[in-house]
Amino acid sequence: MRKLNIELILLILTSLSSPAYGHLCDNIFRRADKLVVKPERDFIRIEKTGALRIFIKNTYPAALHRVRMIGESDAFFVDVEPPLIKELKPQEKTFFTLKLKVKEGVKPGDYSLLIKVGARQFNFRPHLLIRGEVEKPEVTKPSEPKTVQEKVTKPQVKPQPEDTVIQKEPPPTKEEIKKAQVKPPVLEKPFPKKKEIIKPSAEEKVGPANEIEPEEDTLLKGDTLPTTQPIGEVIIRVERFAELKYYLYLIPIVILVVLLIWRRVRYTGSKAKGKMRPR
Amino acid sequence: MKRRITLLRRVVQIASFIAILYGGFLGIENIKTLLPSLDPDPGEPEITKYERGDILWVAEDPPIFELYPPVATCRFIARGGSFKACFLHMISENLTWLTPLKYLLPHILLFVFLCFLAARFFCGWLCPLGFFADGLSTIRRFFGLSYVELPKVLRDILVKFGYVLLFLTLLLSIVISLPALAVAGFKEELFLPYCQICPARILFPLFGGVTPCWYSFDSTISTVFTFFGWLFLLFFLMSFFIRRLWCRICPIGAIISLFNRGALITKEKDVQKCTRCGACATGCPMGDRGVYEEKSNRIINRTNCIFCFRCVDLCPEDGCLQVKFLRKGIFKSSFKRDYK
Repeated sequence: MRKLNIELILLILTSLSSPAYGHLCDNIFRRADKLVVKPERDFIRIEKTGALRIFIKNTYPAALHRVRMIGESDAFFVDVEPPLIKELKPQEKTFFTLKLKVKEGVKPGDYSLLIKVGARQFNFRPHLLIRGEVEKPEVTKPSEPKTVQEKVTKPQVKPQPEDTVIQKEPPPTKEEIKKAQVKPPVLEKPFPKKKEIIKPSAEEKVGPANEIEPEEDTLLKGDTLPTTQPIGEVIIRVERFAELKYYLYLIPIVILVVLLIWRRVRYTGSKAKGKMRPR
Repeated sequence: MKRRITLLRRVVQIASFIAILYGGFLGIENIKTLLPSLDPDPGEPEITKYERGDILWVAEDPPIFELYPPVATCRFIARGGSFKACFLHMISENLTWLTPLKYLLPHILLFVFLCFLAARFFCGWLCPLGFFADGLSTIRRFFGLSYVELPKVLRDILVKFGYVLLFLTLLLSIVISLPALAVAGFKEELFLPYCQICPARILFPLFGGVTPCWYSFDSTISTVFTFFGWLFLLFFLMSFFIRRLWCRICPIGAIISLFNRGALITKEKDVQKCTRCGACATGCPMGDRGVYEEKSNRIINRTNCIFCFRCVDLCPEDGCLQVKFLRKGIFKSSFKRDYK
């Protein structure tokens, strides 16, 4: 009986300790050997052009070389600056700037922006972090009602295992957003669905399809990112604003104000007929 | 039938009060309007004053319409209410966020259009805060107490104070957007300065069963705002003795009053029919004697007038006072009505 109690206590202690480890594990600042990738925002609004910064931090014990980022979107031309970071020292932080330009004929609505990052490093593991994600990888329900000032959605990207194409988590559904008491953005286009995990075979890993083609002016000829290393992906929502033709609103405002002034002036001269009776 | 306009006004006020304050309880999802949403870009720095226990804490769902009508509808109404907030809230908020003007233009156009149509008619007939003040006057009358009439000098000072309040609100809202002040934390402390002292922020959530943040002594600025919030609430509750006291300094009303002279709705006086009985002067809830004193002008759209048309209702002379919209008569004073 005594032995059983000790075992029971040990079991309970063990089960209690596991969430604690889990908690530490989810803390990005306790993660070692990762390239922490943190988008400045997970949701941006643009009309014609826009920019987004993606912060990165090297938590590897060694320097990373040839760190490169690419952005892909059906709706935007994405230009990354700088195109290449030749060396990122341990614990060094820097950022890429993604310049977005709306493609011709793209209607207002929500679109995804896929960000990939790679580096020439053995066992390169990018950890992609959405702004605000610290504790839990799942969509969290806020304890207090949120306001419009607070972030609208938090599409999460889990830490990626090695040697796999990274799986993207779907964005929170409308029900989840409603549960979280956050005003949902209007989705005019459905968000891309969950991408299937594809475990690339050995042949595929070395194949040219997964390679990121370097730019000629920044990389030496034949210098590509090794494809055996996984490339992190993160989706950022970009809402394209309808282009406001401000003059359509400004002209009526001016007309109304002019009318108002004109009527005011007219009223001043709106003399009554006759005179008031003496009291 | 006596005072038919006032009776009609009461019905409209009650309907408007319920619609604005309890719209959120209908469970209608946010309805997208043609006007652009002015929600901040999530990438903007977050204003942490919206936490529970802070003055600007909002216990709300999204409103039905993200519109800013020319009445004291409030961001702090329980369940979001029917409309997002008042026009001053919108201007103040977006000045701080430095929202490009072009995004505000549709909302400004709507506001200008509505004000051009009816000016402070919204204050007299649709504003829930005005209805609350009228309710206090009704309670006073129920107890048989007489109202207090303010001297002209004080009335004029109160009207000017409304403009000062408006100016300070806009000035503070734009000043705190400066990066130096934002870094020092003033952006959060002084965010939405008028909302922090507006009695609607405290009173309206109570109607929806939500307790607002009555006070915050976290910092010197929040303590000052708490003090002023109490002071202005007390000032509002003094409408019990002085009719529509708050409406005389209301900064939203101050903006709308710019449209009073020139709006499509007009109040006209036939001076030949006026017997100077003084019914219009004593009946005016804003304490304005302009209608009574007018001797030469036909159109008597005074800046202070809230278009409640109580003067028209009380005037015993047939056709002496008349309300017109686009030159078409709507109401007019009637002799037969009272002495038939």
